[in-house]
Amino acid sequence: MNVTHLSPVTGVTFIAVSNDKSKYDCLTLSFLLPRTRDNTARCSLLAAVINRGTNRYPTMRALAAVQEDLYSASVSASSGAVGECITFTFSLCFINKKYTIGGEDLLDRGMDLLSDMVLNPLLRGNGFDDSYVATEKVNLITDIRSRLDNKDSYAVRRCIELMCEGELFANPVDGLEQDVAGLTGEDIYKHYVNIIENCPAVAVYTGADDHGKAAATFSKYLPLAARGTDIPRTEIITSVGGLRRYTDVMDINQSKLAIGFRTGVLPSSDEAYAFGVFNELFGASPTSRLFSEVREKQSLCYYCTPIPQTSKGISVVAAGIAAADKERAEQAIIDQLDDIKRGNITDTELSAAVRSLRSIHIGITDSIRALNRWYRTGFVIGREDDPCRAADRIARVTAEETVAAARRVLEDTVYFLKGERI
Amino acid sequence: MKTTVRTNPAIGETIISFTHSSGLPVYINPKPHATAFAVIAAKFGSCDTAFRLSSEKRFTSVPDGTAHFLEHKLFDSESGENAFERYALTGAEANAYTTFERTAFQFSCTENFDENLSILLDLVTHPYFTSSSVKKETGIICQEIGMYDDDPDWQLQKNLLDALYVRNPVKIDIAGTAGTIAGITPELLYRVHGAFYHPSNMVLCISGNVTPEQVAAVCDACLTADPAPDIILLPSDEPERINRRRVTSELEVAQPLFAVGIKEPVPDPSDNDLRRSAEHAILLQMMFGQSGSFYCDAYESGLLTDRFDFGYVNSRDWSYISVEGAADNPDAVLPAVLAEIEKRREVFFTDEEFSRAKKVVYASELLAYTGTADTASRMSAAALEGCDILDYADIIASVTPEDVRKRLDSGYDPDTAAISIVFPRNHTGKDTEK
Repeated sequence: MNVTHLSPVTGVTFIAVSNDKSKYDCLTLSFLLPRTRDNTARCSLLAAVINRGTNRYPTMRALAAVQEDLYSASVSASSGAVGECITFTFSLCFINKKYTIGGEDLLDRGMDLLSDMVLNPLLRGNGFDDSYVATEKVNLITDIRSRLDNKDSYAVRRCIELMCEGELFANPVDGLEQDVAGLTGEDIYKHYVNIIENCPAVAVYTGADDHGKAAATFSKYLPLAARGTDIPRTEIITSVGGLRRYTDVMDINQSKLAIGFRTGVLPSSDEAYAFGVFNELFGASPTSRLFSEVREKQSLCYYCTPIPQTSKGISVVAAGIAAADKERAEQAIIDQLDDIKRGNITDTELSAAVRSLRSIHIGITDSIRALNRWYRTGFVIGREDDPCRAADRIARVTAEETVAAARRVLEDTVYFLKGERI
Repeated sequence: MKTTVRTNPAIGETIISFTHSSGLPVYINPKPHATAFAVIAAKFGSCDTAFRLSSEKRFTSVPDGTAHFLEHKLFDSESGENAFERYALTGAEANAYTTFERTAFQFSCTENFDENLSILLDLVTHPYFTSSSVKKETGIICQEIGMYDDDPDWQLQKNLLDALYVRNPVKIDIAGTAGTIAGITPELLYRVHGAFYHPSNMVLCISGNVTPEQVAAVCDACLTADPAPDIILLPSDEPERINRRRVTSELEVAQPLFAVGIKEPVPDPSDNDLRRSAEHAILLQMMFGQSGSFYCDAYESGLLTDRFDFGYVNSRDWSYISVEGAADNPDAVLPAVLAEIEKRREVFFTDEEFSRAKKVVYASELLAYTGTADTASRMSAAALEGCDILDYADIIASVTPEDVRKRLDSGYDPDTAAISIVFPRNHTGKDTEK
């Protein structure tokens, strides 16, 4: 895989990755800052306000029209996170010139628009437009409240918040309602200036264009100043106190069980690949223990799957169950984990897990967005492998390494969203 | 083997097709990707609630949820090894799903494509059902039904279909209910399988780095040329009117959700499916897209939020316009949508708006070919309906403002509009209609 790393100025890294399988190209520019409670609220409101308009395209309608005219190019700001590092990302995705009518090259026009969004936001007085801020606060608070609409993800999120209480990872990426409510246009403008001027940044280009051309275009349209180089790191906790249990009751049909584990694995370490294989074998694939034993043999649930947060060294096993089956389901999940810890894995299981995970990694090379995410995340966590090298390493993971990874997994928190109906 | 090769140079895509001697139509979209994706889809979905063979006089009714139940059970085999276990040995990720009109089984892999294709063909042609395995599956599916009962988006759509349709089985839940699936037996599953899973009633679609010769060789090894049953479906007897104007329910949600539907007439067979879809897509993009006055004004006034979507939903014998999202005052949305439609009958869109909307729809079509999974899935849905999706990009490019204007004038009838709303539990102004 052809990858170029450049550093146009101190604190800004530019990574270009060649891929001509797609019909569109992507460029993301992520500013990195700690996932503190203050930062999460400010970043998520800031992203929403920036998406309302720029100085040159001051209304949502004008901004949408120019994007649609660029064959529906997507230009936006968003606030995400890798572990305990916020990635405040501006992204541009646009159709490659091979596929536009008349062969129009959209790179320059797209970068011009992205530049406008990053460096030329719509300001009124000493801050962002108050009416935009007011509307987006209302919408963001509604979004935050809407977390409970999807009960599966709500239960997983609650489990993480409870398990990681006191750690930065417990702060929801979209912020807390009470923090968002108090923000002003001036507050988030100061936050914006700090991000653009001081936070370390990584830009990732994935597409079919020449790397030199992509880098030159980036520097032309996004001439960022030198800045700090300290990337916020994530605390990985490797031990637990006593098992903690929490239950919420809700008027729903299907109850949700979420069991939080500490995996103790550093995401950039070689051991992360063995953990990945364990995760497949334990519950991620349809031949895994949780699928075949808990779902298929015991018919305890429709789904039962681990959701690893590898950048934080934790994993949550999530299951949709009947409330009456809670104890049985929890025991069945722990039994399978204990069995793997005792070294009871077959060659067939190991081989299936390796094949599945290897295939997932190779598949990343087919997707522009997945590739972009791989390199962006890799930069934050300090991972140097490309997806193909990672796939090669996964192919060499042994049973001993897999069992060793399983033995580091410790049960920390059990969260139960209890339905009142079945 | 006689193959047909069709290429659309503008979008850089090719589809090679042939019919295997078993009767199975095969479509292959070559791509340089590391991942190959295959889907085999049977023309049997939840809407197929009654059928007979041409040799029979009486229709057989099947319980609601049978197609979906059969999808689950086809992963079992007589050896006791299920298909997932077999795929695990060859390194494929497999899945299946049931829609109103079809049941699809699929896998993606980066190695051992031929072996994986053999498993796929075997699982759809060699059923094995027992009373105990059917009983066990009932428990799993009841959990699945319970999960969807809590899903606000699912409930929103289900209620909208119930509002729009009077008798069409599209208003029945795809998974059925705990009560209806309790009536499913191994005998019924065998009978249904025998009728609907003949290769000639299925399509095989593949996207990835594979050749027609490779696929044909696997088909030769796995499929036999048996006589195809002649299936007669009970036609839907759906009136043009809607069932009811408004349906509401209450769930644990933060903000009311709405889905507006406008029932469109049953398509005339001479009305090309793809052209109709393209015209609706461009019209709806102009009417409700982000650069249009409707959405921007509604967003700024607080009527709508960024949770907003729209589209044209169509299938074998039903179609409707969908506008959905979240709103504090959802009952204000239907009148606003209808007012916009009436306004556009009076004052149509500008050429600039038309050109922009066309670019958006064209780009969306182009991006649908990006991955092997999306491409193969779209190919299968289109092939079962007799459409060639390679034409779609050119059809979009050929649509004129006059075409779209005619489309607006011939449909979008306010009398066939309905709204489904999911309110938060214990909301004020509680509705009593349902």
